[in-house]
Amino acid sequence: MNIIVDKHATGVKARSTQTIMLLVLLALAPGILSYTVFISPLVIFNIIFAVCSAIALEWFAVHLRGDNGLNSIKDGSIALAAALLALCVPPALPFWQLFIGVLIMVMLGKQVFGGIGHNPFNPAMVGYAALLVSFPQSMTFWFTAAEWSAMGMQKPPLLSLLNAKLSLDIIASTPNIQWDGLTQATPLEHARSLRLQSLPQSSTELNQRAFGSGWIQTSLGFLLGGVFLLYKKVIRWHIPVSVIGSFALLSLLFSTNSLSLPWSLLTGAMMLGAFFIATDPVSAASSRRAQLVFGTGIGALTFVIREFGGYPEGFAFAVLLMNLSVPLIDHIDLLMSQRA
Amino acid sequence: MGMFGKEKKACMQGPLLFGFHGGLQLQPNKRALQNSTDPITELEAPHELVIPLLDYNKNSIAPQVELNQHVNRGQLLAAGIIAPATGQVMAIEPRHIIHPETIKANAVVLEVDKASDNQSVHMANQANHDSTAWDTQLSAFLNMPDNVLQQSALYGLGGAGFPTASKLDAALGGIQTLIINAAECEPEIACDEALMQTEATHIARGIDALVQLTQCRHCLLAIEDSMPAAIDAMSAALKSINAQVKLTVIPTIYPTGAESSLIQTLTGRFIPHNEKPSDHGIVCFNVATAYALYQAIGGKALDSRVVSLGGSAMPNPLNVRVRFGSSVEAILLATGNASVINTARLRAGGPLSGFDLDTPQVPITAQTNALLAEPCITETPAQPCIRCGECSDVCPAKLLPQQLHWYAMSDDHEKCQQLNLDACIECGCCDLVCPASIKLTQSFRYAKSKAKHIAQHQQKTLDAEQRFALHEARVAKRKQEKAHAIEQRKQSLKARSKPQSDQIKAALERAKLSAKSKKPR
Ligand code: SF4
Ligand code: SF4
Repeated sequence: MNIIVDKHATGVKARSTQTIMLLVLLALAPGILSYTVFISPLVIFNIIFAVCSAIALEWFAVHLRGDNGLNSIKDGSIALAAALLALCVPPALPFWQLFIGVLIMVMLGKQVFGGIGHNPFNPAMVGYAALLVSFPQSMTFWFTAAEWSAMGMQKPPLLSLLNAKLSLDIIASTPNIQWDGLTQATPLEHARSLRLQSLPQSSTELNQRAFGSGWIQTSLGFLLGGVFLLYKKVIRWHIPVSVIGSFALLSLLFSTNSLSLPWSLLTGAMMLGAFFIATDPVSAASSRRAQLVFGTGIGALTFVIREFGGYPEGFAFAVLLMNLSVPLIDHIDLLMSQRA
Repeated sequence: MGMFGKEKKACMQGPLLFGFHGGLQLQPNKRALQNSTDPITELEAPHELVIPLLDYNKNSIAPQVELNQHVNRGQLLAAGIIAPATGQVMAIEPRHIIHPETIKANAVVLEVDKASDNQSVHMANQANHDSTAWDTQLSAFLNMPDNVLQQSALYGLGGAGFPTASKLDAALGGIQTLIINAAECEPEIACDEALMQTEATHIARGIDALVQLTQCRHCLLAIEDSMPAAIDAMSAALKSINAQVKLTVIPTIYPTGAESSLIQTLTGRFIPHNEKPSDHGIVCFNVATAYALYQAIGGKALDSRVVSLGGSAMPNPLNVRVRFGSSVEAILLATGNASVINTARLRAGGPLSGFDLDTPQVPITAQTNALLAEPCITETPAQPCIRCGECSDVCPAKLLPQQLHWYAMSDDHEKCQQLNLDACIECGCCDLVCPASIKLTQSFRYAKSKAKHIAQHQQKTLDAEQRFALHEARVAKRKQEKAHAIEQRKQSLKARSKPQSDQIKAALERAKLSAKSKKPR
């Protein structure tokens, strides 16, 4: 076989797909750590469960297709997608529901299109959206460690929470836990319901609450990881900056929430989404210019859904909608560069 | 720009440089210069030289010598091809040539007569060192450039091997900028750097001759910042002969040595692939070509070049000056590198723009700038594209390699044209950064050669159609002529038959009349 480009002789070693995925997983670490400390340690179990089942399902699906399943698992992309999905769902989501989310992510999000590189949608967001519409109740069931202590209650032991997660219905199966006392709402949801009910919103109160919920700390962890990825040039600035920029701009101009801007950027999925989810190269627009359009669209749609939609957090739907527009964006971008 | 910190950081250096899109900073890795004391080692002609009878476009040409004929060094073997040594024509037969695919071409096989060849070397050296003769030679050349150019069979030594005479022809129509390319940005290749270290004055004279011949407004000599010794030598040499040449130090970014990238770096002008630099008043020559011109003006035809022997498996890397037609095998044997023939992977040209050789029994040509020995490796199999866009970030031609690859593999030539496949300079940058190890450049070469075939085929069909149409027209015309002739014959017959019938009638009348007159009897 004639070697055309002798990479070996140039001494250049390109980062492999596997290395890229592992670096992204590594960059998730600070966010996962704050999540564990400030929101709930259950997330660790969710991540392990999701990653393991995703790997098994991927192997199975690729095997069915008649390919070598190990090769496909090795690149690490499905592990990353599973970890992202696990970070998006509430910690107390029963395992069986999480499994369904993973199943949809692997099968409908990735493998039906032919595996890595061919999926038009972000697999993790496909799984998340499916879960959100199938199990609206448990998908909006949030509680945080900070809240337990704020209410002067003892945190339920991890084991009983895990036990609850193994059952079919988490609340019914754990009468010994005082779920009622919790708001079960993320700061975003809380701000939204206040606004919808036209109740007075005190921005100091909202902001304090956001900080108390542990979301801010977690988002800062993801931001740190995102900066690491930028520094390592695993991702480029175009998508995160345009996502956050357009969202921030629209919020400044039109937001009716009393949550102040930095707070609304740091509660919810904005940091995780802008740096880790929207930057998935497979389902994003291809040229850097097109990526700016893509990111701006995600930021704008997230704002619109948060402000006017039926869901407190619109990131997943914004990403999916923009995934859908990628062929169009890419095509227009190509026409424009040809004319130039 | 890639993601591993090795790519270029600044496109701009100094007010005069513009930079170009993409590119990579690669380790120069010039083993050929690092490991030996002499920048260039002169090799004796091996006892057999093989000179393929091919022109610049790889079309075969007819030999002008016969079997067993004695030829002198510099004598024409065929149009534009000269004998690199004195000797005897032993055969004119198909031989393997240096090419990405293992193919043969008709070649003149020369048995070198070592004794008389050595004498020719001696004479040539003497002629070269006679510096007072230079001014007269130069003015003779400027008066009658064609004489020198035709006799000395000058080819570009940069890698493309374009005939210098035709390039100069284009340049004579009034150019603004003459660029001398001494940017050897591909790793392992050090032949230009070595030449500048050893032959600076002669190169300077060659450049000066080009400047005077083309009457250009300005002349730039571009040298990469990774070659300080060459920069010093050249700037001293240019000063000493007071040449109107501006030495420009450019950052070492692959592929600055590619004509389009170099022009863009120096002038800021992006020349589309379907236009020639001379359309923009620019012409580029390689620094080794300037040296060859210097020698040609002094009466020495171009019959050798400097080749860098390198690669991580080469035991004795160095730069050698070898005659055209020397086989790779002979060069390796003569330099103490024989061991690599069976143990390593041999490669002609650099790691990026070269290709692997299947056999060492191939003769080197003006285009062979390096011979590398690399360990045999198994390539990483390609994985699916993750659309990361790194490839388009580094592409100096501003293409979308990822999409091009897709269409190249599905043989969609129309789409390939739309995405400007022809502008790809096959530099290999995209391959180097691809995390999925996709063989992008290979697919582009494949698609290009396929498109060429299709174009040729189409031309053939078109020609055939035309021939057929002409044939049809001829047949139709003949038919028409025939029909016309028949018609005419008929007409003329009719015309003749008219009087006849009249005569018959008259005869009948007469007969009737006579019968009447007879009746009463
Ligand atoms: S071809 Fe390679 S470098 Fe280009 S987008 Fe695909 S994976 Fe990235
Ligand atoms: S080989 Fe072609 S497509 Fe790839 S970087 Fe070079 S010019 Fe661009």
